[in-house]
Amino acid sequence: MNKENGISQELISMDSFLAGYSRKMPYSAPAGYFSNFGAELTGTIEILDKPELMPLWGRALPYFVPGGYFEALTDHIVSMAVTSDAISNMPVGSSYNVPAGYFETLPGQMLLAAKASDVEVKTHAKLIPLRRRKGRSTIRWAAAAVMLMCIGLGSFEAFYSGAQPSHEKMLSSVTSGDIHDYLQHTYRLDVDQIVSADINNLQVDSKDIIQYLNETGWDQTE
Amino acid sequence: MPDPSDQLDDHILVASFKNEQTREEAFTKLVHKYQERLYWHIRRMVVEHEDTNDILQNVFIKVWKNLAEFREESNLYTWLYRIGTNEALTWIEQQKRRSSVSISENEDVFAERLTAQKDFDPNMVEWKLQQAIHTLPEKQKLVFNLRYYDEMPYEDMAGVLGTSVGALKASYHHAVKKVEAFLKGI
Repeated sequence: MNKENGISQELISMDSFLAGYSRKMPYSAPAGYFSNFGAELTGTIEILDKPELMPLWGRALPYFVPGGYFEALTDHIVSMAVTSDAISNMPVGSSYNVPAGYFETLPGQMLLAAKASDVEVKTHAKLIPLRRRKGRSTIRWAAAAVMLMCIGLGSFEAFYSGAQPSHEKMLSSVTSGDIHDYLQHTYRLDVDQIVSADINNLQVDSKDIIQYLNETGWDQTE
Repeated sequence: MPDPSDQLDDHILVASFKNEQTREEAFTKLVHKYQERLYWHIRRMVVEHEDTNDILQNVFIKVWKNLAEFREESNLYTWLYRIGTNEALTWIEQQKRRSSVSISENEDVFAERLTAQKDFDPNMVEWKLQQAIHTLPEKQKLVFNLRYYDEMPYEDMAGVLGTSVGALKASYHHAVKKVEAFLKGI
């Protein structure tokens, strides 16, 4: 046991108390493990080398098959085959009539239509800028909206404030004849008599005057 | 670890394996010769027997597939230990990725595996030592196990782990001190 002594001597030289410790492992391998290990390993290697020897751990599948499935399967498949044959044997012709010469002229018509749509696309070709800046279109829209607002406000200011005439001007533009006709027509007053009449000579009862004044909003006590 | 006679035996095994007629017989002998050593080397890393069995089978399948190309630039057992070490580390990495644990949490995972082992007894010094070892980082754990349990020479360990002899000696020294500190702290 030179080596064991060597190990112990080394530990002693380190002043280690491990020199006096048992080097026995506290746990063990299962009984018979090493005697069986070689055979088990050989079996594993054989399977790796020859996959066809892979053990078959039972071939039964755990799935459920409906009763009578396989008995009816043949008839079902045959009927499906017959049906598909019947479909494939159906006449190819259609019940619709196609105008004479339709297919002969169709390619030319399609080409013309395609060319026409190409021209339309070309005239309205969209210009895509090489560089797109983020938010540029937003700024444009905002600027346009502000301009419209300014134009609208300016128009409003010019039309309604500058061109709007004063009340005095509007009143001065009304002629005496218009006023005369208005009073005569609306209130049935004899305007000429009123204009020419002397108020001091009017034969009007004071009570009538008071009543008139009350009706028009004057208080008797005032 | 292999004596000169043992190395001769390994050389004969490899030559026999390369001969198709004697391949299976040579392989059986090889498995029989190294199964326990490799088993414990792996199990000290992963703790569980079932995981050890899976990894060990993978190791020998790789040996079966690659031994014909083995050029004997190193000892056969060094080559076998290297495959076993890499398979164990690969398995541990896969477990880490699956459970999304960090390295420090991973050490606690192995501590849990230990306590879950049948017949675990925290009063037994052997169990305590295993708990201490599983607090070490993976590479340091490997160094400790290979030296303390497998009594592997540093020169052979360098071939297994791809690290210099000096670094391995230093790593083992630090691992011993950490294990002592853990045991003193319990």
